[in-house]
Amino acid sequence: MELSWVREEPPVWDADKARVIGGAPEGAFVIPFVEGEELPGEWWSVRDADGAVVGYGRLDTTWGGDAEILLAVDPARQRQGIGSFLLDHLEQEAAARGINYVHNRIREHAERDVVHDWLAVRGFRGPSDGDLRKRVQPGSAGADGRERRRRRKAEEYDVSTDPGGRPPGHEEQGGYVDVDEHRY
Amino acid sequence: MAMSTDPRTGSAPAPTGPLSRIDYSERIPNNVNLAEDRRLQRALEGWQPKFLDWWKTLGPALPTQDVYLRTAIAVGRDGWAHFDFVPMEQYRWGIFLAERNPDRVVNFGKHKGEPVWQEVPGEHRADLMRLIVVQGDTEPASVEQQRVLGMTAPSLYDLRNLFQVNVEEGRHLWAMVYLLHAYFGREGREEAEQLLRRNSGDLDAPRILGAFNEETTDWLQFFMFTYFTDRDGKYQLGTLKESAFDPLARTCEFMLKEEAHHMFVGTTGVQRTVERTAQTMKELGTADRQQLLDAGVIPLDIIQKYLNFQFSVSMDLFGSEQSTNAGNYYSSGLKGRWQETRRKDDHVLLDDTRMMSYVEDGEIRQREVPMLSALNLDLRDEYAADCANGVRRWNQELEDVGLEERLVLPHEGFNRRVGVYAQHHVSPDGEVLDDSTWEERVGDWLPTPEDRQAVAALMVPNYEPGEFASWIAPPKTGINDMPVEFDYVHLAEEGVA
Repeated sequence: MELSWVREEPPVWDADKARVIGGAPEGAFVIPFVEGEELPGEWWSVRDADGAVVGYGRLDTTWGGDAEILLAVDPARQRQGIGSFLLDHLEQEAAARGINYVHNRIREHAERDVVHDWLAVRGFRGPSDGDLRKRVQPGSAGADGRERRRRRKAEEYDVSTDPGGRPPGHEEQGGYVDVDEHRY
Repeated sequence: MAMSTDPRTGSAPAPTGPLSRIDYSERIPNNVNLAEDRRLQRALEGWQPKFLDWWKTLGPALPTQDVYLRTAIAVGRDGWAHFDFVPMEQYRWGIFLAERNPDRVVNFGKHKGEPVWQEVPGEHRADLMRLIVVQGDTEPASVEQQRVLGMTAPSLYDLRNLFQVNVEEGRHLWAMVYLLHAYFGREGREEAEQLLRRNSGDLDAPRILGAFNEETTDWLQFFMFTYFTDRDGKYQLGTLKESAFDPLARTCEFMLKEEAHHMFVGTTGVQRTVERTAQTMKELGTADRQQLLDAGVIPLDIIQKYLNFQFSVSMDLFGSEQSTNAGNYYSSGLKGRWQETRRKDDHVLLDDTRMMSYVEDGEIRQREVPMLSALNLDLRDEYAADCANGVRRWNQELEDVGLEERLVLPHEGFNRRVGVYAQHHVSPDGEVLDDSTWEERVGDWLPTPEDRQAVAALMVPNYEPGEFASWIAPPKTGINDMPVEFDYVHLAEEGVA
C-alpha cells in the first residue's frame, strides 16, 4: 500500500482528525479541541494513494531530547501497516530534531495490553499503565535501520570471546532473552 | 557527628532557623525518618553500592586524597553547609527535604486551594514518575560529562569547585532516587537502576536530554555549562518546587540551595576568564586573536562563540514553545510556573493568552497563543532574562578597563533544534538565513574545531596553592572565608609521597 507522510502547517482540529482520532476507543486520547482550533505540537497526516487521511502522528517535545508521540489510525484501516509506517516516520522526525527518546503513555483503552505489546515489540519499554520509552537515533528508525544496526553489532562481535556464545541481536531471533534488556 | 580536628577546617555560621537534624547514625544520612521504614531503607541500601560503583567508574577521574567540601548537615536556614576535608568516595550523599509546611495548599491548576498531596494520586502516577526520572537523569549526566576536567584544572580553588558541583549532583541523584523508591514501588526501583545505566554520550543508552550528552571539552565550556545549563536546572527545579506532590516540592526546594553554588561557579568562572582577557587586551593594546592566544588568554570572539553554543543548546532543553504536556502538568498541579505565587493572575490560565514568535516567509512574526499551551515558552523567557544578568556582569569587566567590545546573548532562534525555529537558520542578531548563508557564517558564531583546540592548548593544570593558569584571574575571595591560596584539594600523589 502506498502511503505518504504530510506535515501539517499549522495543525488545526478538523473533520479528518475528529474521524480518525475521535474514532479511537473512548478514553484513549484526551484532546478537548473544537473545530478550527490550532493544536500544540508538531503534526503529520498519513495519506493513502487517493489522498485520503488514514492516520495522524504528533510530536510533543516536553524537554529537548525527549518527546511524547501520539499515533492514531483510522479505525476502518487498522491492521494494514499504517501504525508501523507512522511510528517509523515519527522516530525519523524525532531523530532529525536531536531527540534521544520518544515516549508514549497508554491511557484508558479497552485493548491496553494489545497496544502495549504492539509498542513493546517495536522497542518500547515500560509498564502497560505507565510511561513507555524508546531510544531513537539517526538512521535507526524503520526496518532498514534496525537491520543495519543488527548486522553491524553482529559483525563487530567476536562470538569466540563470549562463554555464552550468543552475539547481540541473537535474542531477537528467538530462544534467548536478555533479562536486563527486556526486563521480563 | 564527628568533627574534624584539622585546623584548616571551617564551618558555616551556627544555624538560626528551624532544624531537622540529619541522622548520621544510619548508613544513608537523611532527615526523612528512614530508620522507621526498614523496607525503604533496605531498598536504598541495595542501590547505594551500585551508585558507588558508578561514581568510581564514571565520577571524577583525577585521583585525590581529600577535598574541602560543603556537606549538608541540616535543612534549616544556615544549617545546610558544613565545610570539611572529605575523601570524595566517603562524601555523605544523603536524603534531605525542606521542612514540611502542614498548611501548604496547591497554588495553581484545577486543584488550586486544596491541601497538597503527601502520596501520589493514581491518575498522576505515570506523569509524576516521568518528571522525576527526567530530572534525576540530568544529575549524574553532568558528572559524567565533567569526568576528566580535573586533569586540566586551572587552580586548586577551581578544582575544589568542580568537585563540589560533582558531589552535589550526586546528592541530587540520591534525592530523586529516594522519591522513586519511596513512592513508586517496583517500577520506581527499576527506573532508579536505569538512572545509572544510561550514560552521557552513550550511543545506545544516552542521557535523556540533548545538552547532557555534549562533551564538556574544557574549563571554559564547564563554566558556560554551569552558567547556562545548570541554570536550566534551576528553573526546572523552581517549577517542581511548586508541585502539589509535597515530597517532590520539598526535595526540589532544598536542591535549589545547592544549585545556587553551581550558578556561582559559572558566573564567576566566566567573569574571571573575561577579566584576564580584558586586562591582557588593555596591556597589549590589541584584540588580535593570535597575539592574545600567544599571551595565554582566550580571545573574546571565542568566549562569545562558547556563549552562543551553550545558551542555544540550553534553550532547547525547555522543549517546544507549545506543549500539550506542559499544559496538562500545570492544570493537574504537577508542575507550576517560576515563582508561581508572585504571578498576578488567576493561576488557572484557561482564558489567558500570550504572544509567541515564529518564522513565516523568511521573517520572524508573532501570533497570539493560549497561555496554557505555551508554558514551556513562559519558563524559557524567565530563564533568558536571568541569563542576561550574568552577561551584563561579564561586560562590566570589559567596561572597567575601558574596552568597547561587549558579549551578547544570541537571538532566541539561533542554532535551535527544538521548537518553532528548528526548521530555520537564524543569525545571532535575529536574521532568518538561507542554508548557504548559514553554512558560510556558522564558523563565525559557533566554536570550530580550531577554536576548541586553541582553548584546549591553554588548559594546562596548575595544582600549586594560590597559583592560577594564565587564562583566568584569581577570585576575589576564597571558599568559606578561607584564603584564595588555601590548599583546597589534596591530590592522591601527596598521600603517596
